[in-house]
Amino acid sequence: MKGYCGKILKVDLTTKTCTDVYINDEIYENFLSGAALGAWWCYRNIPAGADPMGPDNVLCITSGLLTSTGSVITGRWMCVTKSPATGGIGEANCGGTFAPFIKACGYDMIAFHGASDTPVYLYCDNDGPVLKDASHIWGQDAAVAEKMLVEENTVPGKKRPQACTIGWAGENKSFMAGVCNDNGRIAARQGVGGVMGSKMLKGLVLGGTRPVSGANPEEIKKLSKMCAKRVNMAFLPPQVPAGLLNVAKFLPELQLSPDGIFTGVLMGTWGTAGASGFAAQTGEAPIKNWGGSQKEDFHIRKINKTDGSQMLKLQTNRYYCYSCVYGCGGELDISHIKHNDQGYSRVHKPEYESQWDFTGFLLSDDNDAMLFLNEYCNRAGIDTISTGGVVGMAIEAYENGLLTKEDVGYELHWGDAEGIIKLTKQICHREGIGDVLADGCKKAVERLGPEFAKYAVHAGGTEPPMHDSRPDPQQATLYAIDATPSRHTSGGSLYYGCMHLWKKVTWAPPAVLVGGKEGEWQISDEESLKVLACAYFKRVVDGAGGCYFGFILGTATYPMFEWLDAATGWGKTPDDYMWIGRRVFTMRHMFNIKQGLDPWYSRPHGRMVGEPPLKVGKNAGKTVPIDAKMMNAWKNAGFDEKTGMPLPETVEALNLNYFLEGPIENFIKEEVR
Amino acid sequence: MANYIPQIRYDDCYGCKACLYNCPVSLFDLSYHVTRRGMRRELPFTKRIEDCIGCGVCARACPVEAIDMVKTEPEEGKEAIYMDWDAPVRIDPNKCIGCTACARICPSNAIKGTVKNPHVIDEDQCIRCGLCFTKCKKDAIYNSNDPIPELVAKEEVKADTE
Repeated sequence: MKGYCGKILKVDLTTKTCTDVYINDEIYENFLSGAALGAWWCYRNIPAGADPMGPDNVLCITSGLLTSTGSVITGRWMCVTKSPATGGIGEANCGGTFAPFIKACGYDMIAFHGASDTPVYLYCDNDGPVLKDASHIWGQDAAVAEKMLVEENTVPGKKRPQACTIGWAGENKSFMAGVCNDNGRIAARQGVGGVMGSKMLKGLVLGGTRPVSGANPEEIKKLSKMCAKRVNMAFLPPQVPAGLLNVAKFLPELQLSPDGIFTGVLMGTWGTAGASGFAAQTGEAPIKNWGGSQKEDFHIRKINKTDGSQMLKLQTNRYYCYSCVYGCGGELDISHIKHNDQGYSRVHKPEYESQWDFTGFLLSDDNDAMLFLNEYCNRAGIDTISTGGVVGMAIEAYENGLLTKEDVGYELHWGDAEGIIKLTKQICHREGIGDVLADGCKKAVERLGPEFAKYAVHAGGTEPPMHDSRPDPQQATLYAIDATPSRHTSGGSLYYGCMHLWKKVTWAPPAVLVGGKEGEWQISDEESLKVLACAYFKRVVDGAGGCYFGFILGTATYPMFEWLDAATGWGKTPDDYMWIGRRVFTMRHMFNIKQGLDPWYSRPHGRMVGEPPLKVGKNAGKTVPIDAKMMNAWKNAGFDEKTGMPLPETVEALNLNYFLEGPIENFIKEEVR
Repeated sequence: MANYIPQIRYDDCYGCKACLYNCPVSLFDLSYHVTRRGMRRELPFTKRIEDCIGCGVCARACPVEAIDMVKTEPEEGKEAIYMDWDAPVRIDPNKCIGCTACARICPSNAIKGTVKNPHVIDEDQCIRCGLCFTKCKKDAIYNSNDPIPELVAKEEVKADTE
């Protein structure tokens, strides 16, 4: 076995049939598995113009090529579909425990076609897949539904299955809904859960025992031992306050390229929430719906009330996703906090995105409200990034008179935790004004009127994460040009500096260890190649099932290329794998174009690129020349720099005509079960 | 008790849970508590070791080789079957009488066949636990890289087994 199963499961929810689809090795060798395989399947099976919420859309749930081969920090599972939020390729990525169970059923991926007319869930074990009735759990939150499904399918003495489910938001077909696993981990972005809800698919329960291995398990494990050892050497005692990072305020703006192991210190000690103080002080964290600054709007005292150290006080345990040796997660006891009218107790620690989205982004210093809302959104199965974004839009609209108390039913103000909680709950259940906002900023503007557009911060229909792109032109460019726009996990200057890709990839430009950032605003092939190196490498990591926090550890600690070669035995170089990444990157753009999107659709909202620039704070005066940046990146990707369309010679060089237009029977063999 | 049982070397364990989530009988829970780097950790633990089937999947799944499979003494009167996990498990079709006992006990559903016909093991599905050996009364199952013999005519097989 070369890490992948060579087979996917196609489930037609309309006809209730299951088909084993055997996929030729050349697909894996040219795309890898995971999200890349999902994108290829979506391209081949979703017709142009398909309604994302209709039966012609396909939802792929997939694990990566390296998962369960003996590599570490490679336990991610992904959802790939046509996004209702953007109209293009939609993807969401999650840790948790679900990824190995997909391959243990003998499948690299499960693809859902059609739509059921009644609530169903998919159960699969060694006997094969079967669709079961889910009407008794329809209406339950994602965590309760998961628990019920696992318990009713657990047989004593046999392997206990794992499940993923949608919550209320997915059932309501929200464009911000995700798919949940392990009591609140979530593949959240771009409405993948809404697509699942549109198919009346409540969840998947998997309990197979098929072994998985790579071609050279000894070599894989040798690399894993090295990675685990290095990661576990980098830590700080938990007594060290996260507030220490506030000294970043006094640092000059620098391009930093330390070995990524230093990010391991941050993650390993506080989790991602440890970044909030640092992020706010350096201008990394957007404030007041991208319109404010830490200096004017969110005092350091408020940051300290809501930072990573506060969470550690409530932490009962560290949490590690499957195959992770890092453990940036944690479990908290929130039974005693204010606002907890649901009686939540043991919950996952909020990530930085959720933490900042419900605190500094909305000018709230109510830590308890943030903790409660994070769990509420996990239960609802909704993306906290997009929810925070649309709440920010609503608050700003209210504060500027575009929304009134009559429209909302109550008052909405910056920093008012009660209002934020009420509105978030309404969004999760599509109640009142929540129904207008439940599909994100772009759709809200269509419903409310163009005067709201100035407050609707998004790129291509996806709300941006809590990583301000104004001080990071590389990130701004990636927000714009990735086929799934507005995703910090595509990369950025800080991440590129950590990855040290130039040590393995011959064409990746080096970054200086410490230097000025002025060069990042230049329109140059060098800057674009850095952007593209991030983007292509992300495609490789998502094909492998790797974690973002793995790839920012750096190539010295996270030997992605070496693991892939040990698992497959292909004898490819890092440049070869990056060529695969380029192929996948280009294919995803071709999917968007096939679905009718003009590549300029994802040009970010003005606030994301400093149009106009802020007047106060760390990002004052900063504007990213985004049009020129996009065009130069397209040129270097082999696209037409004016239109953003992949050039014919690029498509041909990547062999995409063959893989995307050739008869599909050349690549697959189907056996109806 | 199974012929092999896992022992985790906790000093080498990073708690990635590969053993827990690959175990075909869900033997492990997270009840081994340690404090590392000042924070509480829950590591995998075999609370009900008597339920272990000795397949070694946990040890093979562990990315850092922190699990040793330790031989146990067989029960009195019983023969120990110590598997070679580097070799597949196969069925000689000329010895198999199709009683289905091995298929019914296989925890991975890897053995296929109809009643009174020779059974076949799916080597990719097989977890090499050896439970099928305990059920086969015809010594038809073997654990090596020797190729599966060609099936000889039925009358000759019936004559051999009578």
